[in-house]
This record gives sequence, structure tokens and C-alpha cells, in this order.
Amino acid sequence: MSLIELKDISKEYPLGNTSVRALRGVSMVIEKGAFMSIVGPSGSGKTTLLNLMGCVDQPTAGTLLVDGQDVSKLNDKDLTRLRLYKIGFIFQSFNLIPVLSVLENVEFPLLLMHSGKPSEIRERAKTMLRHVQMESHMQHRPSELSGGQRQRVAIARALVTQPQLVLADEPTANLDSETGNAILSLMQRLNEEQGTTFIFSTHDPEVLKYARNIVKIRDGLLIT
Amino acid sequence: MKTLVFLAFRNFLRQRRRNLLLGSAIAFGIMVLTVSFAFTEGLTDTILNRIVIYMSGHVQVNVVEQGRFMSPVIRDKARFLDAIHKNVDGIMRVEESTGTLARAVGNGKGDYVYLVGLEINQKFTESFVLNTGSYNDFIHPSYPNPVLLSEQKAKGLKVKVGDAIHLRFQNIYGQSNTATLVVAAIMKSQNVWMDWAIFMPQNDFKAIMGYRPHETGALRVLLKKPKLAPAQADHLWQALKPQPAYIAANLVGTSVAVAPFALEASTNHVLKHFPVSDAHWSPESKGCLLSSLLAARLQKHPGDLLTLSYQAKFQTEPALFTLPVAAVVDFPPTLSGDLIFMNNEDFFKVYNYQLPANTAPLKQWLPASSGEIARLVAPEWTLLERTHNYDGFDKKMKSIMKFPQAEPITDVATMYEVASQVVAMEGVLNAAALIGASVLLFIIMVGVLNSLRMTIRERVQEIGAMRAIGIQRSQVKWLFLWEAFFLAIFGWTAGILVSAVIIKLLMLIQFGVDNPLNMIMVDRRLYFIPTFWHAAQNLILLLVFMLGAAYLPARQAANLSPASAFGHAKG
Ligand SMILES: Nc1ncnc2c1ncn2[C@@H]1O[C@H](COP(=O)(O)OP(=O)(O)OP(=O)(O)O)[C@@H](O)[C@H]1O
Ligand SMILES: [Mg+2]
Repeated sequence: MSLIELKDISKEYPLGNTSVRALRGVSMVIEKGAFMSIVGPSGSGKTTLLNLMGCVDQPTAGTLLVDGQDVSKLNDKDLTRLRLYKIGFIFQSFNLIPVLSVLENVEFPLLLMHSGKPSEIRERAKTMLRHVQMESHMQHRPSELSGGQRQRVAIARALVTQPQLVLADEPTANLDSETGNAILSLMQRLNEEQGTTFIFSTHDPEVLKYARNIVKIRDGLLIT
Repeated sequence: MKTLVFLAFRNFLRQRRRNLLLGSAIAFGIMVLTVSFAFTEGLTDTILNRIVIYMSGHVQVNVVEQGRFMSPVIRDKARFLDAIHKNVDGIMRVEESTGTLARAVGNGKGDYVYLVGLEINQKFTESFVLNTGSYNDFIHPSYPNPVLLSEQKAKGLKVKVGDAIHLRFQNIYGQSNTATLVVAAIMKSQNVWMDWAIFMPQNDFKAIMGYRPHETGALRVLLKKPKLAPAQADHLWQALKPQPAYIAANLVGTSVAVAPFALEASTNHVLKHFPVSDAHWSPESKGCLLSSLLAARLQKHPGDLLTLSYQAKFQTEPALFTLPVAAVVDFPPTLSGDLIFMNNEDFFKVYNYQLPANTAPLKQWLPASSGEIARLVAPEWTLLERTHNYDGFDKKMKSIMKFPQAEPITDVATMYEVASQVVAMEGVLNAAALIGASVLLFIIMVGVLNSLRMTIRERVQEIGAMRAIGIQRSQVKWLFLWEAFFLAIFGWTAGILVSAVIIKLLMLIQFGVDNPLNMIMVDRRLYFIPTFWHAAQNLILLLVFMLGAAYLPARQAANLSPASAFGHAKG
């Protein structure tokens, strides 16, 4: 069954009096359990595409179905709930909450969901940190971690809610290649073990060898 | 919610330098507010509670006879006390207020003084700090008329403990009188108000003034909640509405009632009901108006003398008085012929001096059916209209002083009229502090607004990430409002602590004796009363300002797109 369906999606950003067409009619279907990479040069529209799929932004034209639901019919509150319950995000610049410890960062989305007692939430967060081998740094603040460690915490945070879809925008761009490889292997392992759908963007050909499906994009159009 | 508050608190701790700066500014504003409120409260307390209350109480009942405003006299103390206790709620205590202006001569030096009769109770010793002499000499004197006065006054009169002071004053009947007082103790000068007074035990004072045991000066009511004074005074006023005045007397075996003509009973008005043939007669004429029935029965004619006796209220043996017959006239049939009318000036001289027991009601002689004639009888006193501010009170008093009248004047007043300037001053000072602090808080508000704007700009990506993860717009808004709240609490707490220290320090300073500000000081020190209520009020004010300042930036943050998370900045 398809998790995401894009039908003739366009996205324009207003820019002064004109507008920038970041996507110009993109159509595709992403199945559950995919481990997919979006590649393309800088400015090709990778982030834009991920934003739309993550319900962080709305398309200018076309239809976007996430888990069978037309997102243009949802208001901000529902979209936020949809992101909280169904989607996990991994950002290029990690975006951990600096004032919270590693453990608290991973607990955060669960606390927002009010999913269970505090002790249960804590256990789930710890388990997740064990999966990414960060349980020894639970009490650290993000600023005390290396880039690779931060990204592993970010992965734990994205996965702790057991989302159907994880979106990662250039997750390895701020990491050296060795750490980047480790992060991608981790994502790959979690995809295989837990069946979570992963979509990640990159412009690093090195990274592509991990992907099962590859979508190429240039100037806002898919290249097949 | 808990998660948000927790996160907001962490965020608050994160911007240490900025928040320390803003917090100090807030603390300063709160300090200004707290110290000035405590000062006004202290000032009001010294002036209102120590001085005004000494003079007027929260609610005061005054009865003045024949325009002798300097020496009020309540003849039936028990009745007034009863009215007070039945009609005033939340009484802390009721005090007798006795005092008069007098001329004092010490060792060759003379001065005007305000002589105060002091009720000796436990609170009494707390009010004074003695320099020389002892309380014991004052409370249990070995000589008559011991007095207590301030060192300032003692210097003015050139007297020491044991010296005599010769006093000239008017007693409650308006007669000039003299008395010799003995200095029992000299107290430290506390403020100019007390420096003006000479205190003596109330019983001694009442004795030299001519008060009898059932009489007193004015009555002061102290309330638990002074703010309720106007309502309580209105209530008491209702209960003090006067009855018609009369004396149920005995005239050669006949039960008669003697009643005064009301002040407003004009000759024409009276003649309408009583066809008096004597052209010289008027309601003010000396002597009495006798019914032809009674005159015939007693065989009395104009010019004859009547001797009446009546049961007095505060004396066992019967009271006697004589009354010449001024005119004899046919009474209207609705009226008892045994009612005797007389002019009110002479009536009240007899009546005030010896209140009648009046066991028989007036309607026995003046039935309800007599209609309009009842209005010819004067009330036992004139109850002055209630006023609610100083202007009204002043106008009322001035107009009544212009037309002194024979019947007693009863007035119910509160500190809000008698001492309204003081009460108003508290309001003005508090308003000034509030305006000053509001300006300060407004400036701080701008600072907070800018700081939050800056903070939000710095956290765009972080906020975007939280939005992407699934935090709601309203939650973002609350995150910043809570952060502002913590800043406010921090600044407020610091402000309160600093205020406490500053007030402590200011209260340590003792000013010189000749300081013109002495009248507002206690023991020559500035006096502060910080109250919980003011602290809470300041907190609320601060929160209003702070949340007001934070609201717009917080909403701006809430409207940030979750897409902002996808920036490339390091985070
Ligand atoms: N908020 C925006 N406002 C205006 N133009 C935008 C905005 N976001 C993206 N664009 C434009 O849309 C186009 C696609 O941008 P996008 O960020 O999706 O590319 P990208 O493939 O992610 O590039 P990179 O590899 O540099 O991250 C670019 O031309 C970009 O300038
Ligand atoms: Mg990009």
C-alpha cells in the first residue's frame, strides 16, 4: 500500500514581485517500508519536496496524499498532529533542543503525545537510545556531543514515536564521511528491523549506495 | 503543559546575561513600587491610625449643645453605645473621646494646649515612651489631676515632673473654670501632633469638665475594616433618627407631658392650631402654653407659676422645675389638654441637665390622630445629614455654626470626612508611586519586548524544528509567555528582597529633633509598612506588563513555519 502519493505537485515561493518555482509538476508514489533517496544538485528542490511530504508546507498545486489523507483538507492543528503521530524528522543541522538533555530530547515528542506514564516514556526513550548506542550519554546536553552523536540522538527522537515515515534532509551533510556512513547504516538497520519508511535527500553520490530506491531531481522536475 | 512549563524554565535559565539584566531592571521597578507603597502605608498608618484615630476614630458620634463645638457632650452614653453596638458591624472597640482646648500656664509661661482625657487601658502604655516620671504616678496618683506631656510642651511651659500647671477652660455648660494640674510624667516627643496635647486620666478630665458618670464627650468607633466606615456610619445614622422630645411630668397630681416647640414652628403655624389671643405671644416666648381645660382645673392664669416634678433617668430623687404660664388657649379636640408646650431653649436646659425617664409614651398626650400638630414638637436632637467627603462635612459644619440652636445637634461622621485630606493623601501618594512605576515598567516592557524579539530570531530554527516535530502553535506561544512569566517572578522576587533590605536600612536612620518631617515619623525614623497585599498587587501589575510585552513576540514565534527547521545553520 502506498504511504505517500504526489499528483502533479507544484510549489512556488513568492520572491519579491515574482516567484520561484521550486517544484514544477512532480508525481510519484512511495510505498510503505521504502528506503528511498532523493538526489539532485543544490537548489533542485529536494528540501522543498521533503517539506511537502512532511506536511511542513503545502503545495501550490496538485494533490498530496499522506497515508491516504489529502493534506490540503487539513488545518494547521491537524497537520501538526499528523506530524507528531505519523512522521519523524531528521535534520541536516540536527536541531536538538539545546536546553534539554539527550534523554529529555528523546522523551519530548512522547510527552507532547501524552503517551503513557512518565516512567513508561522514560523507558521507551532509553530503549531507543540503546538502539542508537547513545545510552551512555543520556544526561549530556547536545552541545557536549559530536555531530555524529547528535545525529544519532536526532534519529532516536525521530523514531521513538514509532512513526510510519521518517524524513531526513541531508542527514550526513554536516558529518565526515565515516560518521555519515555509520548514520546511514544505522538508518538502514532500523528500516530493516522495524519496517519504518525512510526518505532522505542527499547530493553525495557516496550515500546513494545505501538507498534501495533513488529519485533524481533537477530544477524541480523528476528525472527518470 | 508540564512539559512546556519545564522547557520554558530551562529556556529562561539559558539566557543568563540578558535575563539578569532585565531581571535587575524589573527588580528595580518593583523595589520602587514596594518601598513607596510601604512608605505611604506607613505614613497613612502614623497619621491616620495614630493621630486621626486619636481624634476622630473611624466612625465618630458627636452631640453638641448650644453651639459649644469645642466640648461635645453625650448625655445618655448607654443609649448611644447601645445604638452603636446594635448597628455597627465589625467593631474593634468603642472609645470615649474627651478633650478640650484650654489655656495653660506653667512656670510663668502660658500656652494653648489641647487637653485630652485618656482612657487607661493596656494599649495606653504602648503609645508613649517616657523620659522622666512614671506611669504609676499617672495611673495611681497621690495628687489630683496628674498629666502627661511631651518634652517639647514641658519645655514650652517650663515645667518638670512634680510642677503645677494652671489651666483655664470652659466646662461643658460653657462656664469658665480653672484647675490645677500636676506633671506626673514627661514623654519623648514623637510627632508634632502629640506635642500639642496634654494627657490626663479620663476620669479626672471628666470631673473637671463637669461630665457626670452617664455622660461622655464624643464616641469613637474603631472598626476592624476601616474601609467600611462610610457604610457603617450610614447604618448608625439611620438608627439615630430622633424621637419627639418631651418630659412626662407630674403637675399637682396630674400626669402631664411638657413638649418643646420645634424650631421651625413659626408663630403663624402655631396660631393655626391654637388661637392664642395675646398678640405678644410667640413660640419663643418664655413660659408655657397651657390648655384652657388644664388651666381651669388647676385654676391657673397667665403669669402664674407651675411647679412640675418628674422621674429622672439617672437620678433616684425626682427632678423639679418651675414654669410660668405664658398663655391659656383652647386646644384642638384631638389633643390631650394635659400637654404643655414651651419654648425649646428653656426646655432643653431642663431636659439636657436631667434627662427624664419618660415611662409613659408621648402618644398618651399626642395621639397619632392629632396629625400635623405632632410636627410642632421638637425632636430630641437634630440629626445632621450624612456627608461623604471633607467638602460636604465642612459646608455642613459651617452652616450649623452660623445658626446655633437650642436643641442638641447629633452628627455621625467618618474619618473620610473629618480627615479626608489624610485619606486623599494616601491615594495621591499611591497613585504617584503607581504612575512612576508604570513608566518604569513600561520602559522595562519595551526592553523585554526587544529581548524576546531577539531571542526568537535566534531560535527560529529551533522553533521550526519543534513545530515540525509536532508542537502546536498555541504551545509555542505559551512557551514564550511562560518564559516571560519566569522572568517576572525572578525580577519580582529580587525586587522584594532588595526592598526588604532597603526598608530595613532606611528605618535604621534616626533624624534630628528639629526635622520638619518629624510629624510623619515615628520615633524620628521613617516608618514603612510593607504589606502582603501590596506585594501581590505589584506582582499582578508586573505580570500584566510582562505578559503584555511578551504577547506579540510570542504570537510571532507561534506563526513561524515549521519549514524554518530545514535551514543550514548549525544548531
Ligand atoms: N522559503 C523560500 N523562499 C523562496 N525561495 C525558496 C525558498 N525555499 C527554497 N527556495 C528556492 O526553491 C528552490 C529549491 O530549493 P530547495 O531548498 O528545495 O533546494 P535543495 O535541493 O534542497 O538545495 P540544497 O541542496 O542547497 O539544500 C531554490 O531555487 C531555492 O532558492
Ligand atoms: Mg536542501
